[in-house]
Amino acid sequence: MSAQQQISTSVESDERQRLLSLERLTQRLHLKNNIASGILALITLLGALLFILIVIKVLWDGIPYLINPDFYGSTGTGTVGQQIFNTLYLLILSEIILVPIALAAAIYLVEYARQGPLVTVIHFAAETLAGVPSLVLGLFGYLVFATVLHLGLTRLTGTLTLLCLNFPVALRLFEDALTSVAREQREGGLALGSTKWHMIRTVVLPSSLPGIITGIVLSAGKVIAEAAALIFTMGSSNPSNVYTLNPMISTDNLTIHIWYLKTVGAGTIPDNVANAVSAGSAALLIIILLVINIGSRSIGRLIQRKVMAA
Amino acid sequence: MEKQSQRPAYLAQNEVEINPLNKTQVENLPEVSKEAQHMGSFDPTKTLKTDATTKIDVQHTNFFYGAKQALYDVSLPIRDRQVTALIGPSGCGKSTFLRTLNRMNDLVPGARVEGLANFDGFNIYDPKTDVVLLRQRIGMVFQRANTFPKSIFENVAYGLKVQGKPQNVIKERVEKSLHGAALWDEVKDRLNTSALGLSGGQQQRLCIARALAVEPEVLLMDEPCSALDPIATLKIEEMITELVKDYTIVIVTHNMQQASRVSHFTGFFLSGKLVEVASTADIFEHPHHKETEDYISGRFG
Repeated sequence: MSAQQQISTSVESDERQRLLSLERLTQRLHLKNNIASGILALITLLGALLFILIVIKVLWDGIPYLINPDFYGSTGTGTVGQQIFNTLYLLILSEIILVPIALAAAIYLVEYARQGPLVTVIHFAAETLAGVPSLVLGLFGYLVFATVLHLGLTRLTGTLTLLCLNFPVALRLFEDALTSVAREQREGGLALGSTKWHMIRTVVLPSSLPGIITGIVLSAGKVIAEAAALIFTMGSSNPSNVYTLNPMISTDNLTIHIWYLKTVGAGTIPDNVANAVSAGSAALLIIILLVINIGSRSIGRLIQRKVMAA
Repeated sequence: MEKQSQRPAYLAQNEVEINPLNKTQVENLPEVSKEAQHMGSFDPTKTLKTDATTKIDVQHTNFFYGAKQALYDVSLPIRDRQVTALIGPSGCGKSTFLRTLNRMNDLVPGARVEGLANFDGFNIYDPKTDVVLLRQRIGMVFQRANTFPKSIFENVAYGLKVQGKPQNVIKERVEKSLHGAALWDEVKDRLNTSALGLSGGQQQRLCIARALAVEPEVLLMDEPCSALDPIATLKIEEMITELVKDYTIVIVTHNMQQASRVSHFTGFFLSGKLVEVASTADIFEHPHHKETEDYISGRFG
């Protein structure tokens, strides 16, 4: 074996050594990656499973009552027809007030307001308000709307209280939806000689529609599920006729009804009826939320398709 | 064996070599006019008018982002119906300068401009200038195609709808602008489909069509080809040489060959200062400043 050949073999084996150690290193990296992705997948799966199980359990318990038409009546015990109407009434009234106000505020803050201390203070206030327990907001609503403004325990007082609860969250979500539209898009609109408002209407709002719908769906969920803030501001019992658009009457809703039957009103109706009502109502609430979610998303898609020709 | 030995080694067995100098062999060449197939054949020197009137007369412009000064005493005439190219290294202020001309910098918080930009008797920088009117007269094409997520037709019609033009005028102008941007043949059968389905080069030409539709007098182009492949770039350059018959064009570019291919005048920016401005041929062949010479010969930048 010549000297030159010896050198070349030693170079070769050095190269092989380097490759082998590199291989071991990448194997270790792959292992770590697999462990991390496995743990993340497991946690996600457990969370999703828990969520799905809750939904299945609630629906399973409730659906036997839901298929009984008497459940939706408005006379006698164990009926929730009035509460369903109240819940939907409250939902629509509060969304009608909330969406324009929150959207207008979000548009102003994102598009027009000079980004400075005032905007920071507004954001800080909104975030603090979003963290206030709904029970406290209920007491606030009772104090301000029912007592000081003499609105009493009415649907209107309840709606205004819900507005306090929902406004900060909706504002934040709407703002996020608007800021997610790229600066280039805004510039494109303005560079063609459109005014700011025209640009917002034709470029920003259509593109931010999915985010705006998310805000509406989340606030709708809060309206439907809220009980604590409404007990102080709207009441927990019904007048003889709730099927009216009059906002100045005191009514309950589905969640208040469940709370009432299980606490203050326990014993006024038989236990099995109370259980039937709460199980059925819980299932109904989930179904309503589902319908709102799917419905608003498909309406949003429809609008977007029309605007975007996608 | 003997056949293959003439093929470059990097080509696979059945790949066709695309030799730019030997186009007859290549089939299905994208639609580029004969002139455009040769780089540098537009020859702006033939259409150069050194006595063209000044469309926008920019004098002593200083620009600030907050406390940071981005432009120092820039004075530059923009000639009527000529292409003015602005070149210089990244961050030299050429884009900032371009954006002062249609007041796009108004959107940047803390931006401030001093100086005079005389456009048709009024100062563009004057706070009292109506920016909506200004931007209808001075259009802009951006670095990245900012196509709206709307149909092709709606994209081009956008500015016309802003102006409240009647439907028949809109239709006519959309077609005319798409012709002007050399896009009509490619999209005429799918005007109502989403513009986001177009290729990058088509989207950029759509943005140019969109800007042309409102019939501005001046067209500002901020590195319009930086995200495009060479063929798409050539198409846009070819279009610029057509458009300059009717429009005054200011183009910012990183690409010095592009500046020499399409522009009549060139301004060289460095660190926020306009080092020199002259006819493109002068800048590239007899630069007066050492910095310009260093930059165009590739010694920095």
